[in-house]
Amino acid sequence: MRLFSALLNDVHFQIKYGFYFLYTFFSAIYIAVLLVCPQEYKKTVAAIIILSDPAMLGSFFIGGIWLLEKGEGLHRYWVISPLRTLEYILSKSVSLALISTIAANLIVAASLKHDVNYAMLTFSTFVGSMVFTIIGLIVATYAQSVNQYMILVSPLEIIITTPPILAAFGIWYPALDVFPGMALWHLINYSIGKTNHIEAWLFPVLLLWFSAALLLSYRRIPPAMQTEGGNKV
Amino acid sequence: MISVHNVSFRYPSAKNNTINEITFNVKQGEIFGFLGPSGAGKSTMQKILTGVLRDYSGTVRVFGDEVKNRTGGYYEKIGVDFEFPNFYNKFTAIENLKYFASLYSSKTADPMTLMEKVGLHNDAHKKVGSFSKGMKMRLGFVRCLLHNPQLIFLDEPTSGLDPANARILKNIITEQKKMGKTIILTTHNMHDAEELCDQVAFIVDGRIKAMNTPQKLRNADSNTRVHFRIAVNGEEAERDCLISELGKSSDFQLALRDGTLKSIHSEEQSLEDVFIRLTGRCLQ
Repeated sequence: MRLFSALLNDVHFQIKYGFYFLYTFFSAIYIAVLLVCPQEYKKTVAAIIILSDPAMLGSFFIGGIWLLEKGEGLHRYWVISPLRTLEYILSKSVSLALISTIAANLIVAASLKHDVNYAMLTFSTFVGSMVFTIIGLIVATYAQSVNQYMILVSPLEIIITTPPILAAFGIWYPALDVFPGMALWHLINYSIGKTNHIEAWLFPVLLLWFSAALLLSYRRIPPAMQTEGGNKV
Repeated sequence: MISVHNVSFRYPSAKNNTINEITFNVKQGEIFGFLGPSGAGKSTMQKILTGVLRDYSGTVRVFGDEVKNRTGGYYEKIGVDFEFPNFYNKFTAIENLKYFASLYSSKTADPMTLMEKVGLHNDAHKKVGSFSKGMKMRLGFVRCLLHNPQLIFLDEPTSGLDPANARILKNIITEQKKMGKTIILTTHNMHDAEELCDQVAFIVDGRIKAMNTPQKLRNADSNTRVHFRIAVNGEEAERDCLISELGKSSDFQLALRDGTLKSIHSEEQSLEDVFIRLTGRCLQ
C-alpha cells in the first residue's frame, strides 16, 4: 500500500514537472522519423530509438528528480518517515519505467505495426529502464548539481550504449552480451521482429543487472540521504 | 519513554565528539527541552533519538527499545517537525499532506482540520512554493501531527512565526501534552522553553551543563535583586538590595511604615541569564 502511494506520488510528480509532456513530445518526433524512414532501416532505427531514449531516458531524469528532492530538503524527511529504502528506489524506478514502456509501445505501435511481440517489448523496456534508472540514481547521490550529474553520468551512458550502437552496424562480440545494454539490445530486436531468435540467457542477464543495481542502491541511498545537514555519516 | 545513558557520538569526518557522555530521562507526557546555541549538538542529539544516527556509544532507549536497533515501525510512532521546512514546492499544501499521510499504516487525521487549527485552511490549495517561511513552518508542524504520534520532536517550531501564530502553535503543543504525548523541543528560544518545558537541558559543546525544571534553574541563584522607589523629601528616589536582605533595609522599612513606597519589583533571572551564568555562552 505504501509502495503504491509512493508510486502514485512519483507519477504525479513527473506529470507536474512536465516529464509526461517531454516523453509525448519526443515520442511524436520519433514516430514521425520512423514513418518517413525507408522500410529496410526502419527496424534498426526503431531499436536504436527505443534503447537510447525510452529505455535510457530514465537515467537522466532520475538525476534531476534526486537533486530536486534534495534541494527541497525532502531527503531529511524520508529518513524519518515510514517509507523504506527499497520502496523509495522501486517507486522511483517503476514510475519512470512505466512511462518509458508506454512510450516504447506507442512508438512501435504507430510506426511498425507488424511482427511486434508487445509482451516482450514491455518486459524488455520495463526491466531495462529500471536497471538504467537505478544506476542513474546511484550516480546522482554523488552529484551536487545537475551539471555535475551530467558530467558523471554521460561517460557511463556512452559505455552502456556504445556496444549496441556498434552492433547495429555489424560490429559485435558475443562476450559483450553480458552487459545490460547489449542484453537489452537483443531483447528489443527480438520483440520488434528484427531477429527471430533470442538466447534464453539474456533474460537472467538483465534480471541479474537489475538485482545488482538494486542491491547497490539499497546500500548507497540511506547514507546519501543522511549527508544533508553538513555532516557526512 | 526515553532513557539516554552515557551517549557519545562523533561524525566520521570530525576530529572530536559532537556529543559527549550525555545522560537524561524523559517521562511519558513530558515536554523536554534542549536549550543551547547553534552547533552545540542539539540537532545531532535529535538525530540520535530519531534513529537517523546509529553509530553512537552508550544506550538510547525509546519505547523500551534500543534506538540503533529500531525497525521501520518506529517511524509510525514518532513525528518530526524540522527547523527548515521540506515539501514538494510544486504541489499544493493539501496534496503534500495527503501524500505524507498515505505513508502511515495507522489512521491519520483530516489534514484540513489540522490546517484550520493553524490558520492555513484558506491556503490549502495553493502551491507550497508560494508559501512564506512562517506558513511552511505551520504546515510542517501540521505534518508531524498527522499520524497521531506518541513522541514528537520539534526543532525551533516557532522560528519565523509572528506572535499570534506562535501562540497558536504553543497552545497546540500544550494540548498534545495534555493528550499524553511526549515532546522533545529543540530551541534557543528561552521564552518557548520556559513556557512549555517540564524539564530543560542546557547543552553546550555536546555536553549537558545543567538540567532541571525551568523554575528550579531560575531559582537556583538566591541573589535576586529588588528595586524599589520611595518618596524622599517630595522627590522619588530608587533603591535596591538583595531579596534576602529586603527585611533588613532601613529605607524599605521606613517607606513601608510611612506609606512612601511608590513601586517595587524583583529582578528575577531569566532562563537565558541562568544559561549565560552556567555556561559562559549566549544562546544565539
